[in-house]
Amino acid sequence: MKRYIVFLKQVPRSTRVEIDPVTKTLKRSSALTQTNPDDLHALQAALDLRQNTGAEVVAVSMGPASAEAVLREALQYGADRAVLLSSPAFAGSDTWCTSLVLASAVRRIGDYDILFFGRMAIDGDTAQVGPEVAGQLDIPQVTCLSSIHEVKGNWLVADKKAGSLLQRVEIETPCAVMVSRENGELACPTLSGWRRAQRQEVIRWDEGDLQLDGKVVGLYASPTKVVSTDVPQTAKEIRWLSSGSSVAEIIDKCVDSLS
Amino acid sequence: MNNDTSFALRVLKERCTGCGLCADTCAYNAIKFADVPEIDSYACRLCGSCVQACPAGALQISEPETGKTAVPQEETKGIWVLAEVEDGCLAPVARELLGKAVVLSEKLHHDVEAVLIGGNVSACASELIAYGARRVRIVEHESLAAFIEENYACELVRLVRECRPEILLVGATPRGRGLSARMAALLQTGLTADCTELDIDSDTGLLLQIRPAFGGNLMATIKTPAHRPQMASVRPGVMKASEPDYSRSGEVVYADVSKVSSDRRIRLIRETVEASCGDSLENSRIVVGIGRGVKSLDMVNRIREWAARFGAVVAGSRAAVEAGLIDAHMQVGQTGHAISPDLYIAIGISGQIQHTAALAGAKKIIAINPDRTAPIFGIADYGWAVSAEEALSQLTAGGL
Repeated sequence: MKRYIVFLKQVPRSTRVEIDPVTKTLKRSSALTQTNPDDLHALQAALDLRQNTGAEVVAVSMGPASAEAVLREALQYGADRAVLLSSPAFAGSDTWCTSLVLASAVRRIGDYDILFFGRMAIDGDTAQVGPEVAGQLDIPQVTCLSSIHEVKGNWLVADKKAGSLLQRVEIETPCAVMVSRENGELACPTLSGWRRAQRQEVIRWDEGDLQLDGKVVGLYASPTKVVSTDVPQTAKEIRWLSSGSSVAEIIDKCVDSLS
Repeated sequence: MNNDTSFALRVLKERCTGCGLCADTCAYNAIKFADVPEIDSYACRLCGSCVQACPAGALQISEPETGKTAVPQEETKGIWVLAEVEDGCLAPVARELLGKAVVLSEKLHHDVEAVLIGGNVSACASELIAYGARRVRIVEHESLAAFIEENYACELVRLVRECRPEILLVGATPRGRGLSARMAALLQTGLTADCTELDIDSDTGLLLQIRPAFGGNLMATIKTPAHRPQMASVRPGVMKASEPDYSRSGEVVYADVSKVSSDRRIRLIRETVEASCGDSLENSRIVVGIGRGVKSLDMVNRIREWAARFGAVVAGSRAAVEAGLIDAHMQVGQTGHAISPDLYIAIGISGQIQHTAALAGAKKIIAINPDRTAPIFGIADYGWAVSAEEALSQLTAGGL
């Protein structure tokens, strides 16, 4: 049987945060979380494909203990198994270390056909983890999948889009695909799915289960280091105008300097 | 709860004043506060918000004992720009990256080099030299004619391993993002996505990679101390290309392509290039942006007529797109285009961070909004506190 692995990330419900003007720190009214939207579409793409090809769908998340919630949701949608990668050793991992942990989990799960990633996470906006896992495993990748056309044996026929460039490719499995919100509608979890999910266990793996040395992942091992975070300096000296003619003057001046 | 002393975030209990700011700041509910903070290391992501929030310095993310002084073993040289070519033409971001690379090279004293890869790309070399490249490396082979990430990554990684650049800059374009991430994985180095500013640390000579974090509310500065090359992708439209000088001389080096082979695991069936509507927006010198304060399509049409008088393109905020006032491909913002015109005129735009983050490169901004406290005025050079309707009647009445 084929095996599809879907990666889901728990992200803050809103990235709209306020800055405390005195302490210059983030004020988050609450710590509500959600499953990253693109990742749910990745799950949907895997479940849709399963209908045609038959497959086991394994949902994987890396994160704190609370990330079990996104895996519960994945089980309700219809994933067959769920694995949470959680350990203090993973905290502070950048995209390279994250992709190392995920690639190690893929190796442990084994015998996979397609890895499904959301195109990007709304809290990091990097769009790097999927292609980095593909690179770590040395498998081909479909960045910005538009649609899966068909599966022919070990080959996947897919449409991809890189800006203005549209390609149809045949790609050999195992491979990785990156899915975004533009890929269509999400189905709703069914009552039977919800009931089944109640009975399912979420497997939990740490660095030992992945045969990883705790020193090669996490904050210290990450190639990139955040050295500081600052409130952007946007306060400019503003000149107030009082009529349309002063706007026209500025435009005139700009047009003159351009010609 | 975990009292593991090896966890990187530590509480210095003797310094804690018990104010509780750390627990309020934590987005992950990883801090429980009794008398002093207790860190749940299974929930903590080491984001550092609490360290910054603590006025007493009672929270520290400790540096590892080893690794702090770790430096790359091999000698590296050169500031490289991966120059993206689309349809035989240089992507605008390539010129922008070169402009920044030249500025960086003044502090770092490394040569600026550009890399071209594709089936037939050498014609772009002279343009790259004019925009600041001292050397252009060309990886040209017929099997690289189609953009296949696996093939491009394989050849570029080969070239990087051979020449060992110190820094590698890539445009954060739809092609550049996936390609650079695959390369970073293969090269086992760090990659910072979507930078909006780059600088050189005067103490260490390291590349400072600056990017928006937490939805643009904070700017994070990131370094890659011990891995090479230091890789960063840079948002198109944010940095400024310098003036081209076609009298400059530069070296053109053809990479050895005898080992180029295409990955047998990918077959291209067909390829089409969509007409790109966004280009006119990213290259426009004057842009008029409309927001929710513009109430009707009739007003949009009048703005278009007015803008056409001085050759401006009309774009919009996400709110304007959602209100059906303007096409989605003309959206300026985090999920649309980043632009860097000489003049940006914002009409009826409140100025949410998602919109203003895409205006970092604009030289002058005129903001028109009836609400004097609207955030758009925080980034504007000129402000006019009137409604879009009133503004439009004055602007069109005067003639221009």
